Amino acid sequence: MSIITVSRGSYSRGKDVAEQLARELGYDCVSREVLLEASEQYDIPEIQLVHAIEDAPSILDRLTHGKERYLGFVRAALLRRVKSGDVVYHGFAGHLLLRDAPSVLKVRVIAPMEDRVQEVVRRDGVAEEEARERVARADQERRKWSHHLYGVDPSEADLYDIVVQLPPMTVDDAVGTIKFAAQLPAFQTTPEVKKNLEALAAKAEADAKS
Amino acid sequence: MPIITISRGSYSHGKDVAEKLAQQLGYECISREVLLEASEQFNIPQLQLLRAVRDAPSILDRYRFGKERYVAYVRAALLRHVRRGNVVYHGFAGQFFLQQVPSVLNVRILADPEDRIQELIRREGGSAKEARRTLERIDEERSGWSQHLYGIDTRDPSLYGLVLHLRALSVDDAVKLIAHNVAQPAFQATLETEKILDNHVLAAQVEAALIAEFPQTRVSARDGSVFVAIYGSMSQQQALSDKARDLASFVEGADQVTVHFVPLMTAD
Repeated sequence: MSIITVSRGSYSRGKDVAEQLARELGYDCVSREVLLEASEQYDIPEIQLVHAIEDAPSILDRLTHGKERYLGFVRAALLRRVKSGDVVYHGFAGHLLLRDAPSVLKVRVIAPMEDRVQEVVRRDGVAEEEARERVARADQERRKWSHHLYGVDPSEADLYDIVVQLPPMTVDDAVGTIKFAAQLPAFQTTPEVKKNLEALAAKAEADAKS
Repeated sequence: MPIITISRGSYSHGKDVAEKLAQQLGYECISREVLLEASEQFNIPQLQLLRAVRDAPSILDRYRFGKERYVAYVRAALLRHVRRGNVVYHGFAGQFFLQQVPSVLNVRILADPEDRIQELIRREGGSAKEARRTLERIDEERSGWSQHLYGIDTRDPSLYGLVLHLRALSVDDAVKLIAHNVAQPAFQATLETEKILDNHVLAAQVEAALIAEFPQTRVSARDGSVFVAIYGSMSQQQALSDKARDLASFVEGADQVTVHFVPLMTAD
């Protein structure tokens, strides 16, 4: 009975970890669906939400707080989705959107730079140099984004309960580790935790509508 | 026969984790002992070694080979100590000293700043303000020496297989998680990884034997064959090569020594 967020650098096999983890635990595995739900509920085109949560903030954003508003929608939808527990969320910024949610197990999956570059080469079929640039660019965007909205760098280990690196760990090792941690008392979605989550979700919803 | 290193900030309960983990697994738990061994093996006062591997570099150090020498001694002692495996090392820069050794599980333990402050006050007394300042100073110093000496930032998560934050996780939880992980196939020694470790152990011993005379030496080893690179002026090639070969040959297990001499170019 847990809520687990898996944060991942792009091309770090974090998705594989999240999916296998959800399968083995019999949990829901949630990512982009939350955007769709937010889009339907608040009647905002999904693409706009995607931009809001994936792109680094523009100067306009900084002035208008546009991003914050969209994020409010996503956060409300996410809280609604996860509040009953038994869920693995590996979409954007789970660790930040659920920062004040109690008993959430926050995991980050990382991979050495070279492995990530090879993964891009394999997946996108581009030359190594181009792949390296893509990884660097993706990291840079996320860093800016995270800094702007939350004042933190997503690579800071401080934000997570567990950081796992593949390799030396394998996907199976990472899944095993997270499953193990998910059973610990600290990460149980107890009735009391659920009540707190309900309250947070209700507040997020009210804020989003205001 | 796994090897586990635990990197920790001071007052972060990392030592507790290391000790409990070793106890639970029936492993040896080592830290400062390695300095004592290095001190005995290479006949260097322990305090000098401690300063070299722990203190932030002084301006003077940056221009000498002093620290590198001590680091080579500590590395040699550590590698020799962990070669049999089943060991938890929670001393300085384990992840650095053992970075090329396969199937080592490098773990970093983090604690919340506020917890660390409370822990410091509990152990040393004083006010929260003082404690905060002390911790900042210690962290800065560590960051300084690891950057200077080892070229790494110990806070960088990519140095570790596993980073555990003692916030929701307790010391006991962390111990269980590490024990669970280290039982996985990736961290079991195989004939191949043992061989690689043996090669590193031998290379480190030879490097330590040479470094006082040849501060910039580079050593590698393979199955008892040792390859040594040294630098010097052309006119001394024979004498220096002979000396390096002699020093290296003294090391146990160095059956065959090959010296590669790199002439230093100097203006006429």
